[in-house]
Amino acid sequence: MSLVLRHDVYTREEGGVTVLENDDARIEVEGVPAREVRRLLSHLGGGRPLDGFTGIAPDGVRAITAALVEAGLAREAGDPHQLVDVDRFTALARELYPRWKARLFGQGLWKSLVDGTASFTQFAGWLLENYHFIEGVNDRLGSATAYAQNREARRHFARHYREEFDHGGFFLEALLQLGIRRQDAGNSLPLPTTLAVLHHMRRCARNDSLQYAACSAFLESTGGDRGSARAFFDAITRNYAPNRPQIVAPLVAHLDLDEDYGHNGVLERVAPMLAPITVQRAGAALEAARALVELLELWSADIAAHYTDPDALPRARSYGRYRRPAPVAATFEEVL
Amino acid sequence: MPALSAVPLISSRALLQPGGGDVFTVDTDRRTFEFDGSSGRALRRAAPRFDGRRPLGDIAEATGCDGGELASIVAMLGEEGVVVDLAATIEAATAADFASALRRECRFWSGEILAQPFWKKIVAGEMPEAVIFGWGIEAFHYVDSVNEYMAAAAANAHLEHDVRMLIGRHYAEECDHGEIFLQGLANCGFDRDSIVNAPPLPGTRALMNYLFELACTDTFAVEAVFDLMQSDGESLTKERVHAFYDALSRLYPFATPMFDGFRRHALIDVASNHGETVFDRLCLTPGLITPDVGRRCVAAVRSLAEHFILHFENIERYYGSPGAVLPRRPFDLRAWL
Repeated sequence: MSLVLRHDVYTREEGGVTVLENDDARIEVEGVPAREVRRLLSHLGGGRPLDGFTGIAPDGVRAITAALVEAGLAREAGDPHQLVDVDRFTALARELYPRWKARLFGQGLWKSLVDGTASFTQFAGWLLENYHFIEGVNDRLGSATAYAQNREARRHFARHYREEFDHGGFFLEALLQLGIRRQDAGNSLPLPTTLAVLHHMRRCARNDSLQYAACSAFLESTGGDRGSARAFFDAITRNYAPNRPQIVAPLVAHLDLDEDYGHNGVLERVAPMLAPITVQRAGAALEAARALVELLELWSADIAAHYTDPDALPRARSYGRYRRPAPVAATFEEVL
Repeated sequence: MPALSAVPLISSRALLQPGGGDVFTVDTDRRTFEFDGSSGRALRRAAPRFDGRRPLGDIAEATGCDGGELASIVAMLGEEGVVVDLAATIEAATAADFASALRRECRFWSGEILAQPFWKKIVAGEMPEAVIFGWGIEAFHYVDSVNEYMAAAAANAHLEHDVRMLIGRHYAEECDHGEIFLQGLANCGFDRDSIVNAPPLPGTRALMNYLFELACTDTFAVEAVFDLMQSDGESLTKERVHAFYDALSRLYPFATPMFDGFRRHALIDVASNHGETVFDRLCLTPGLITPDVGRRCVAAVRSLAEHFILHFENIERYYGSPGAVLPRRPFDLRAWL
């Protein structure tokens, strides 16, 4: 028998006990060195039988793996080439995405924009990087269309592209309302993490239309949640544009348009076009979406960190300011 | 000497300290520069404006300093790598001048990358075990990614045969180097498959994808960024490589086999440093490096420097956190359905 462990199970040592846990469950292992427990976890990739593992006595291996299975942290590994039921696959995505979304939007920059603790520069930086991201629909959705090998999927992406390719204009309008000049916005340099999000989606588009659709569905699930999105825009209007609601108005108009187009449910539409889908392929698609979430977390942290410095905006003139270590800034204050 | 059109950016490794009287000190981790008299007075006013955003002429005017004096100070600090002139590449009169200005700028950015907290903690022996091994895993992914970006650079180079052979030979020399890192990690007890299948951190993936995109779209820019990736090549010697990895092995003895892999790879780099790069060759070919090409190359180098900073920062942030998975595991549907 071989087992496959969930990707998010981590270990830590707690008073001589090795704790294995993720957001859903936790088990404790006593009497086995933590290093050997970690080695056992490395063995649970679904490709090798458990009886080939040495380092922990067979009874110990059985006890630990049984506890992992019982806690829902691991399962017996099936054939990765088996076909997956498309509805079960999309349903799993819809189950996972809200949890990933809650993690992404419940902390850091997003939380600080909602509660008003982010600075005005961070708000403006967020808007500018969003402009680059939305403008980047040409990079990512153009790639998804061009690389699609399935005609139906390609037509779907092409329609989506036709509806979205100029939506950067909504964000540009918001930037203009904010007082950033068109040429400054156009000449500004996206943060490396903004590029990274676009590059990741282009990579997914090259790999498999299903991977792109899984990423796109995560993004649209965020836009499709009309209530949360409106509450977010209300909060940023209140915090950063109380007397100038016209700054946020283009973003609300963009949300309305996306809703009108029905740009949600992309995975449910595209996945059946791409069937039959193996377990391995479906897993790779959800791994692509998971990696996107991680990138978006890094993106959010990057925006918050970079735009702490009011002089960092816009980035066309700010080479050398990216993560400038502290000693110089402190010294500059003394000098000035 | 830089002209008044020079755009000085001072290294973040330089500590600027006004002393008593007219004394002004620029302290770096290598040397301390002390200025006195009119130079000291000029730097007091001007140095905080060496931020890469305005030309020297504007700084001189705004601070009431003598432009010529500032230019000679900037030239001296530039020779020492403390200041870089961000306009030097753009204003280069010839392709050869451009190549040498870009190399100077690359050395500067390399210093900025090494000035980040990640490296200070590494050499101080302050990094936890998970970060050290995480660094090794991410280094494996980065080195192995030559099979994406260098292969793509070779595939997309539509230049004369000889240049393409140089690009191809460079890739051919590097294509197996990931194996050296993998072996080093395996010698530390890591399962090879678990390393190969570990998803790179987002910061590492960002770096790899950036290089790949560059390789697909701009042969000149992707060759130019090797000036940054190999910027320590001139000063790298076998002795320095051994001294560095001996020191790391003393600080982190548990990772000695992994550092032996790093060392082996660095020694290969030392041995294969042939001086002239593909980009040097491109610069020597008349008419290839147009002003637009030059601007793209400079932008690529600066952006890559930011990607490296992000990459190292992300390693410490992720592997140094309590919830880090080491090695990381990909999402596997079989664990869910």
